[in-house]
Amino acid sequence: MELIVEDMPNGITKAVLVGRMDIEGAATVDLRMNVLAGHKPALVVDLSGVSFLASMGLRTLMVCARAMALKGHKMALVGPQPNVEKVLLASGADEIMGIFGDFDVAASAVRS
Amino acid sequence: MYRRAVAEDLSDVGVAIAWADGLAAEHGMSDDVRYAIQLCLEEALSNLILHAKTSGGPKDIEIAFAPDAPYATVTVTDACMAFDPTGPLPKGDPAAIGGQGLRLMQTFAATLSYRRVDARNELVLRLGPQAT
Repeated sequence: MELIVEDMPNGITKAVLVGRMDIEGAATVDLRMNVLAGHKPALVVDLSGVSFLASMGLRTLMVCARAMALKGHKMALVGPQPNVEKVLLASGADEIMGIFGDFDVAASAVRS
Repeated sequence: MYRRAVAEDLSDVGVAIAWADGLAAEHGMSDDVRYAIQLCLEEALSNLILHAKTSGGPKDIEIAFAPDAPYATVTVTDACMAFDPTGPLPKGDPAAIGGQGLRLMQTFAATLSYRRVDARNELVLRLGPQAT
């Protein structure tokens, strides 16, 4: 599991996840994702390179989104593959963070 | 029918999933069905290894894979205390962080059945094309 972080010029942080967010994958990025959630005011997580998402990976995303919301900050997801999106919708993750097909739309959502 | 024991160690979950996925690929299952097999096995096995209790003996976890393309039947058996994962989900916040594994299994499996047989749990997951 890879996590590539890029601070964008507009104050938004882009986090690109690549790989399988299963038990092992989630464990490899969990701490770094929590640090991002604790320090960044606007975070867009690009899931287009995530081929598999299970409950442990979902937990990582939901903990970060809830932590950011408590501080008045925002996190959004962009580009999930169809089965990854099915996991997100089944879990109700879309109730605590926006899920978008396009990065610019996601960026607008976390900036506002 | 193919069978495999699963060690009480999270490091064996990925190996067991790869075993089942290899069989699914070999038997021509679609990508969606293979995803469902992987997801349901990850949730069932990690739940057993992390949370299930025994009366002192080993958990003795075993999975069986029966292909019937486009469907597959995956059976998970164990010697843990009785637990029925097919029951109604806990009420409350649907976006709660805990308890998502059961919700995902119920979403991705075409059918899910449970019974207690000879002091063992038997979870049968029927995985295949779903009406959406």
